[in-house]
Amino acid sequence: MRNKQQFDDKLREEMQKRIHVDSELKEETWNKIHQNIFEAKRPSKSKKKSFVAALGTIAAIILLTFGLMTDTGQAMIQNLKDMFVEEKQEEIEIEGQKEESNTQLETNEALRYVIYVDEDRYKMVKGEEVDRIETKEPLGDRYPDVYMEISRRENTTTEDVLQDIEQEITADGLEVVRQEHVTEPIEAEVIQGMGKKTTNESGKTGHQWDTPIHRYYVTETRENQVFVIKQAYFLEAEEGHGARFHYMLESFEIVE
Amino acid sequence: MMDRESKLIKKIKKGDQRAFKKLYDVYADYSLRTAYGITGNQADAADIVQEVFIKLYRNIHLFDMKRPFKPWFYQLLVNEARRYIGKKAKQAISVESEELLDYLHTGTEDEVDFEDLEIAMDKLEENHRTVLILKYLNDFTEKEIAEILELNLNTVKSRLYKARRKLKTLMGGVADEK
Repeated sequence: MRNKQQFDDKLREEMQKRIHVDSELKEETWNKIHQNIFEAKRPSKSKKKSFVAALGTIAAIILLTFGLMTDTGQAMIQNLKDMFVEEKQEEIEIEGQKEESNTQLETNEALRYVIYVDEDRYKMVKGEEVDRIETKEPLGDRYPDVYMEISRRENTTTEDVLQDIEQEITADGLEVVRQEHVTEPIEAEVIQGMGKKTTNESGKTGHQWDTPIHRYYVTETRENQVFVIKQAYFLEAEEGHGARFHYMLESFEIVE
Repeated sequence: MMDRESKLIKKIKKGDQRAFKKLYDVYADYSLRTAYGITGNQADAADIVQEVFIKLYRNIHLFDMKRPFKPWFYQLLVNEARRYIGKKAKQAISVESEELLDYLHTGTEDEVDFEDLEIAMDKLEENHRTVLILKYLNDFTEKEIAEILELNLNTVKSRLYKARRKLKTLMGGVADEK
């Protein structure tokens, strides 16, 4: 070796050539990772059912593998529950304080979407037209509505839906206070309505603690369909329920 | 960060298994080879890479999207390899002593024998082996290596110099660098 450059070049070439691993090792390692993360989380079944469960797991792996590796597999419809982990723990920030949030996967196979719901505070109520995430413990009568609704509107466009929502906001007695394109928590058009200013018992005029806020996220049009996510809460709950809805919505995903 | 990689990570943060598999496919080969280069054992390399990807999946929410992913990933990998080696209490043969270098240094400058590369690499200290792997197998720049190993750039340069010198000596060549 005459000089450093020659030695460097030769060393690089030899390392690239000699340090390689068996191709099976990559696949074997993935199987162990998959087993450890995704299969270990499944609830344990009775012995009688374990063989069926094992078959189901194998089928899911095959389905997932083909879905990933073949063109024809792309056309296969995968079960959403098999594509996402069931539970996740996330660190979120509420009113300046960091906290751990336990979230549970919720899926809608018909509408092909997933979302993780903070299972300690909210529950998902599936409806025919609309899925609604609402508080586990009902709020008292003195509080305005608090929920997040997910629906899909068909044979329409984002622009038309935005116009409809504007009318809904007005019909609910609220005023449109914001409309813009956002990329967080999801990429969508946002339109927000807020209750009008009033004068309370103490004579204070303006927005009150219980002034309702209705925020709508409208996704872009795909095949004449748009998703609408409506968040309803009130002014005082903006940094509480409002922030929690925001974090949950971050996990919302439409799966094609 | 590359746009495609950024999108994958965002999806993984949402719990998407397919995105996680795609990221694995991108990094599996080189991470296995890197871990193999550091440990000299394929089974150990597989254990390390398995652990790294499990940790990555479970801690992906801690990853700051503003940071480049690749150095962060390799930092996890190198740290895990070191932890693994420490756990196995593998006694690396130290070639620190000048006596050993002198003993090994018997050939002429043209006698570097790359046939002995694996043996020579195995005899190096872990920190020397790691910088060489990152530079020559992974093609990281010295600046990137400094970031991955959380070291000063000059320390990386010095470590690379010493590592090359020892490796060359162990393979039968002279230890000078022109």
